[in-house]
Amino acid sequence: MASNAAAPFWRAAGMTYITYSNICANLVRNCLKEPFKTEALSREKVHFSVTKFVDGNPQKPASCFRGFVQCSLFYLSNVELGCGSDIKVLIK
Amino acid sequence: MLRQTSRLLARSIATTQQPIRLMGARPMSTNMPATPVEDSTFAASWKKVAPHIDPPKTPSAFMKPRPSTPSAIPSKITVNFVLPYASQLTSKEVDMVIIPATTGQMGVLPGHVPTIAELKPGVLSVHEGNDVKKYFLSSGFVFVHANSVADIVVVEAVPVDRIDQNLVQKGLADFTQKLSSATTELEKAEAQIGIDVHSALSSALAG
Amino acid sequence: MVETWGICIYILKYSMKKCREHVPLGARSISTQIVRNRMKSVKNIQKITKAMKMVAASKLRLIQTRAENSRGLWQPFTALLGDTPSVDVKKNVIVTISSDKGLCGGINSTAVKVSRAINRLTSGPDKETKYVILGEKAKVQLIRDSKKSITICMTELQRNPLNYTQVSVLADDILKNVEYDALRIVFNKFQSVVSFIPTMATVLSPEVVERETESEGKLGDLDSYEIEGGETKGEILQNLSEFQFSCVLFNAVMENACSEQGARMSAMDSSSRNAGDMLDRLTLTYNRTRQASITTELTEIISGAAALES
Repeated sequence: MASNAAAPFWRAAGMTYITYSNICANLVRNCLKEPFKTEALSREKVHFSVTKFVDGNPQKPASCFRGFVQCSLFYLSNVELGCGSDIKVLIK
Repeated sequence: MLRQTSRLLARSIATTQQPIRLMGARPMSTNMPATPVEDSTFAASWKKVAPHIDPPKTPSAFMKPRPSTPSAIPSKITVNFVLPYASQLTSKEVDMVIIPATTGQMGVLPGHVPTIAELKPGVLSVHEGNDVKKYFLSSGFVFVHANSVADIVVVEAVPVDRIDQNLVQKGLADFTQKLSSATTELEKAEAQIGIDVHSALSSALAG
Repeated sequence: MVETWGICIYILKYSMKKCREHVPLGARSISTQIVRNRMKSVKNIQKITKAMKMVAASKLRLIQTRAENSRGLWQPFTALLGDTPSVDVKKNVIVTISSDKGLCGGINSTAVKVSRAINRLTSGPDKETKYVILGEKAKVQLIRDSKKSITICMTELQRNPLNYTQVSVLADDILKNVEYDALRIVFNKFQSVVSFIPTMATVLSPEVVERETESEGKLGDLDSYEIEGGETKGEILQNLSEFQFSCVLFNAVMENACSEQGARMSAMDSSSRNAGDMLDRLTLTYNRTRQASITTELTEIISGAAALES
């Protein structure tokens, strides 16, 4: 593992490379001219639901989104998250 | 096992014949045999645990074998430029590519040393004769192999002329403001990324 | 699932046989009524399976082009890092990709079977193997015997058309929640509408990549590459490994979704063909019974008339 001192600022802030690259990609998509912008943004919609298992028992599907939503505010601006059946988080 | 020995052998031969490092005629992982060889240890241990099921294939079984490293430097560099939703360039032979590595712009000519480079938001230019194509890349990786093949893997890439100048200026202003008002590490990092991307975009438009 | 249809059709066949056995010569209207009802239900089944086949075909067309477009994505990583199925590490995580919906032949059970075998292969003293499951169907099967090993299960992937952002967010979530030395992604590679190849892609953690690079490990070749950018090699390798996982997973999910539609298409095709065959046989039975009853009636009338005359 890379030592923390050398890590880039985004990893120090708790992001992974995937998060970082997604934020970058989404910012680029947001700066496109029409119609390319709408096309690119509508292509990349996110929806899935997650169930964590602890000792073989499924937990509530909603809980696992919190941390992830926090650190992904920007690139999730066009994202709809479905958590099982109860929560629909729409951010900004 | 045998594969390893032949590779080792090839390496020693290659180093004696080609002392110049830049030429890099060393065997690479791209230097694959024409028909992909299955991992024999894997197949054997698979047989032990699941004799009734065929072992699953591995990705290299579906890959076109890459060309081996030629002894002389070819005149063109072969570029594979891929996005998740499209392959922009597939095995295209071009004269030069300039890629935005995190360490600075990097020109890749045929015979470049094998390199793994991380990309920052910036402009990729593909030179083909007098024709220069420019793409703005968000982020990704570039692998330059010894056989003058460059693989460019990027999350999002757009031709530079599709970028809207006004949106870039607005975004830059927004994120500069956000950085000053950010309180947590995370917000700061996000704003910083925003500034990085937008300034790269605006310099791409200016350049 | 195709099995369900098989059973359904089997029951129909069986009851048809029964109904043929039970046609006594005299009984008319009741037996034809039974056969007519059967014919109606078989016809309805055929209609449904035909419609499902059409839907699968059009979905397949859409997703196939996108799966083919995504095939460039993993190749650079395989070219660089090779695939290392036999790498021996402590913490293995098996990412099993399956579909949310059934009626698509055997692709889900193949994925599960392969995953179980990998589990056996990678287990050993002081080793740990965990499952991450994508899709409802593998969850249902794996929860039966490997409940304890499941860490995360992700479903409802195909609500929107599959795209990279979605799969990478998912990959990100996996990376944050499991500790791994090697990730084994199990999926069905789409070859053609009738052939799907169970495939396992291996993604190593940065530490393992570093270990294998040194001292004649499996990735000895990586040593010859110069690494640009970043402060340390480990940092770049970490970024690289994360990026590799999201790219490989993206293609795997695409291929599996494509296989799912293909399998559903061929399963529905054979189901509608079976229903057609059965319909033919039922029609034959129906006509025969009707004919028989008409003949009986005629005989009765004629013999009755003859009895009156004499």
